[in-house]
Amino acid sequence: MGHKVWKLLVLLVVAVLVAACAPATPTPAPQATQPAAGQVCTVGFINHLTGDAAAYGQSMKKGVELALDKINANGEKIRVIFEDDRLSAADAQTAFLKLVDSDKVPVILGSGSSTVTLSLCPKAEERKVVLISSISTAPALKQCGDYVFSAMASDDAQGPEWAKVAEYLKADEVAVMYLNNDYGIGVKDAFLASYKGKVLIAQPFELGAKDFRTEILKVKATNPKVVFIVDHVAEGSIVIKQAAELGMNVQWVTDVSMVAKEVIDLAGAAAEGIMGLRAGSTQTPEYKEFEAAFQKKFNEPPTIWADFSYDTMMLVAMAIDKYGCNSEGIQKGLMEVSQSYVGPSGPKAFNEYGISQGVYEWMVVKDGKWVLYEKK
Amino acid sequence: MDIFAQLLVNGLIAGGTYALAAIGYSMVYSILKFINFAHGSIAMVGAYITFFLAIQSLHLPLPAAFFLSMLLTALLGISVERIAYRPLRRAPKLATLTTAIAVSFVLDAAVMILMGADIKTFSLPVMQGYSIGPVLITPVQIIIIGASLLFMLLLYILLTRTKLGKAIRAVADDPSLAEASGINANVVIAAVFGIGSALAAAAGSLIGLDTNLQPTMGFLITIKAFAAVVLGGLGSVYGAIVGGFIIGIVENLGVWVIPPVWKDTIAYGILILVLFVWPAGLFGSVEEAGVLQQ
Amino acid sequence: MEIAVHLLVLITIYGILAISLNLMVGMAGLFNLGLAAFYGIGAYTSAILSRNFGVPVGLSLLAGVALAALIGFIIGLPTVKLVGDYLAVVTMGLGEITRAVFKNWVPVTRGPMGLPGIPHMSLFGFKLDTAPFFLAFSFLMIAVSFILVERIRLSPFGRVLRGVREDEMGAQALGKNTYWYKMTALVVGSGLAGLAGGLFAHYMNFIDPSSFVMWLTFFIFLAIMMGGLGNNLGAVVATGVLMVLREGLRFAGLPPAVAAPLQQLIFGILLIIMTIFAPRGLIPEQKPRYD
Repeated sequence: MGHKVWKLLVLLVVAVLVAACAPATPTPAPQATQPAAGQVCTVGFINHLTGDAAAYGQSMKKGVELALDKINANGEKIRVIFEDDRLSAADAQTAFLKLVDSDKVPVILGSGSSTVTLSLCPKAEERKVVLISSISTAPALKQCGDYVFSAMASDDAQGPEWAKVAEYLKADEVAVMYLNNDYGIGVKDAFLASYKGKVLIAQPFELGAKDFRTEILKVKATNPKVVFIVDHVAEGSIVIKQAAELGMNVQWVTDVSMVAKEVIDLAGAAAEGIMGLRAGSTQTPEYKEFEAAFQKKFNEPPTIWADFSYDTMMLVAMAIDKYGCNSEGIQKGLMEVSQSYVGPSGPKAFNEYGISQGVYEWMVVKDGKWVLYEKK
Repeated sequence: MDIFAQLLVNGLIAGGTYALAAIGYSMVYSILKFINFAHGSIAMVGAYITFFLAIQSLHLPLPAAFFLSMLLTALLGISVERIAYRPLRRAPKLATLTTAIAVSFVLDAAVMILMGADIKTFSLPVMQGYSIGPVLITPVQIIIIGASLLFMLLLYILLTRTKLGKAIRAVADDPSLAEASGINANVVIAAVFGIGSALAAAAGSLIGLDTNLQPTMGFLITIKAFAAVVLGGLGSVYGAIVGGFIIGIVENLGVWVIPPVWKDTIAYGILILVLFVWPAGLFGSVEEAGVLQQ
Repeated sequence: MEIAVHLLVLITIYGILAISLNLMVGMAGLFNLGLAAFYGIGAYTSAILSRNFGVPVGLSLLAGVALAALIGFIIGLPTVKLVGDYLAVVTMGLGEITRAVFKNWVPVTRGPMGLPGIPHMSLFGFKLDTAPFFLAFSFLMIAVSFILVERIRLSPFGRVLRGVREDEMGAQALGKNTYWYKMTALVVGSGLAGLAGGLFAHYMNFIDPSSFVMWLTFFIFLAIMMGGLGNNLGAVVATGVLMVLREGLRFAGLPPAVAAPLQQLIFGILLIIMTIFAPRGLIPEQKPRYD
């Protein structure tokens, strides 16, 4: 090897060691204090903005933008910096450190993915930055600590609600189809734990696939009358469509994430009569107002999870209003303001773990629209 | 038995889309000997063009939008070749592979910016499929299977009965010899990219019609088509089609007995097994692929 | 700036991957698209051993390296004789199969939920629980990997390897057993990828299957391509350049409405331009003097 290369290498070693040792004392959590009254508070946002799950991240971004319009209506109070996690723990970490070190944000609206949020939570606790996810539902989030919040109830709340639906439908045997990821497995397990009847088959399927026909045939072969399905809309809408094409006539009951227009768009007439859970309520004045504002700004009906990210942003803004633009204040503020807050996605009171409690509404597709299910 | 028939048809539907995508892939390989990793993204763009023409803006009738999209995507493929691949024809193979990956980044990002990341659907009426014997199948699915067979036939005619076809085969066999005998290799290569991209657009649009559209759908198409091409034998266009159908069928039959989360594992497992027995794929020639026998 | 340290750690880890891939692809011509699998095997092995069984972290790291190398060997037995694109598809398939195992062997890997709470690295009782300390260690590891592979490159063994890459028939004609030369490159390369994986697991303290996707393999391919095939220093430098480019675009202040896809778009365009103007990489392979 040439001398030059060695010299370069030695130089690199020295440079890196210097870089490594200089801040060897772990920097004490920078109490991100931003300015007092009258100035703009900068807030971070990390979500999947590109890649396979971009549809959800971009949708949540819209909810935040809508909330910002309202918050900043009388002069700019809050500015949000949007970062991409590419659905990867390492990239989320990069985005997190960029927001905390470079933009000095005291609070980050966290990822839609429970896995990514979980990977960030030790860092958030260490740096004392509030991490609030709109829709992360993994029960493990409870162990994260004081600085991590989620505005959606854990998976273990959705399962029992499904069991109630099953009881109401007098279904003593059902089939379950679930997405093979943290979310799908979480809801399925919670359901299996609380459902008393017989489960004919619990059929997993893969995220990102487009051909579910054989999976559907396996479920169909057990002759279920009621099928519970937990899925993202991209795959779930295809499952409903392909099941109809394969002549499967069952009562579908979906999780909260499939109660979205995409299912009806794709499955068309086959979507009629599908039941599903909705977190929060579409009947409240808060939701109606949100729906109209969203339609006005983006020229489309609210996209998936936008109501949750909207509420998350509003809660953060209220907390900042109350205790200022610093993470301790926001942490305290979130606990307090959430207790009485009711937004388009429902009441958001955080419990001792910093997780909102779910209220579910039963929905059904009627004449090509998700409407409230009327219990007989 | 009934279920077996339905599984077989499910496999044909999945296999038809893989096969359609694989044809263009294989044609490019046979001429340039490089893996066009942007092929799936080109199929994705084709699907979005069809959607744009038929649903989003011009409201053209679906067949018109479909064929216009094939044409426009052909132009896209030719431009991609001209801009990103041609300057590198004499560069190491890995350089072309790099630009191919980069092109797929660019196309995916561009569609995401222009069309949004949300899921798009054609919203065709959904109905129970026609019963043919014990099997249920929808018109779109019949078109998918039919189209891959039809394009296979058209391609056969093109390659064997036309002047362009002869030129393509000549360039594939020996580019310098073909140039010496007065064939303009650049034109032939552009034609191959055009045809391959048009077929990719057809595949992407049909997948979109059967399921839905997302800017990242290209990657899956690339992977499955790549597997189909290798299974059939690199450079063998007919092999690619057979490979596509085999993978579709094996996946669907396999999932019946094995949990579906292992679906891709089944496809790759079969592929690896086949390569151990026939190192150059089912229809590939050992010499051409440069596979060493020890 | 912790982010700078974080990026440097990632660069050293990905740099080891680049050195590993360079040994396999750049030097031996083994077109391995399954790099992320070996990386993942190293990560999961070390994480599970240390987290669930209390194995000391240094030892678990070595176990990860050994298992990755062993699996490289087993896979190599039938596949090393395949060349070029066929090897590419087989290794790609193995990569996806491995990821399916990470995802679906839930009792052991916790599947898609990921493994939280992986213990920190410790060295002779000294805990490397801050990023700067970890950087020092991962830098040491990349230096060791670099020197190891450079020694291989400059040895007679490396010369044969290069010969195999350029003209396998010729090398065989000279009586060289190309099979074992390539096998050695594959085994060492796989072990290095396993090392990188182990480092990643103990740095992040959390792993899940999404960290071991094919995208990463592509990214490292781009790096060795840019750095100049067969050039180890170039590969590491290019890894750094690409990472800084990719993450640096976060600081570019792009319009928020389209910032994320726009970053991807710009990254892609820059890559195309760079490749067209320097198809042999930014720092082309330097031939050893005796060549």
